[in-house]
Amino acid sequence: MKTSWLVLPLLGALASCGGEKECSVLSDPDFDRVNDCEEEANGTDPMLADSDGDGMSDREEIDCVSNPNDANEQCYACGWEHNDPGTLTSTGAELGDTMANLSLVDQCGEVVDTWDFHGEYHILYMTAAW
Amino acid sequence: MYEGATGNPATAEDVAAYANTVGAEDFPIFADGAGGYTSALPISEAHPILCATTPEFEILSCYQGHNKHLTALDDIRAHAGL
Repeated sequence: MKTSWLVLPLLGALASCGGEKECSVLSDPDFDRVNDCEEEANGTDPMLADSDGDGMSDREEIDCVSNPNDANEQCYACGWEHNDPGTLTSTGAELGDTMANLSLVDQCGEVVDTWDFHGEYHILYMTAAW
Repeated sequence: MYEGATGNPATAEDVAAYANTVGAEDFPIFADGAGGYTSALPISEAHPILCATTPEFEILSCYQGHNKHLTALDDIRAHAGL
């Protein structure tokens, strides 16, 4: 009875990650709190806590919706998500056009790309502080 | 934001102060002292002015004047089929 209780959860923790090799949600050899199945799903290195070497762990980047494989992309200080799908192309500045991807400094003092707010409707309001 | 409190081109410090004043924690406020949005949208410098965009950043509509956000919201509802 005791043996069964121990074995079944372990079997349940093994999962196919889409390939021939099975991964385990219990395995985390780089101790980054991203298990092997998550590492495979995200394309990160299961042996490196910071796969892209940008100073942020894979866990941190996954949680803040930043690409853990892109050293040029890190978590925004204000917590915005990196939602630029990489498929947008600016077509102009008239009604019906896809607007340009402006990179401007936000209230956290960081340069932020407009297209990272992809996926939701927006009202862009231009004003002054006075 | 295109200008800070003293009429200077808006800086990071200006938007940080403004965000603190209005309590903006869940939406971004950008310093646009160089007029980036003016060139990226069909707008003039007659502020306040606003534009509505789709989730794909297609420019839906633009308006000049106070309280025009209500009209922009109507445009968004219509585009979303609500």
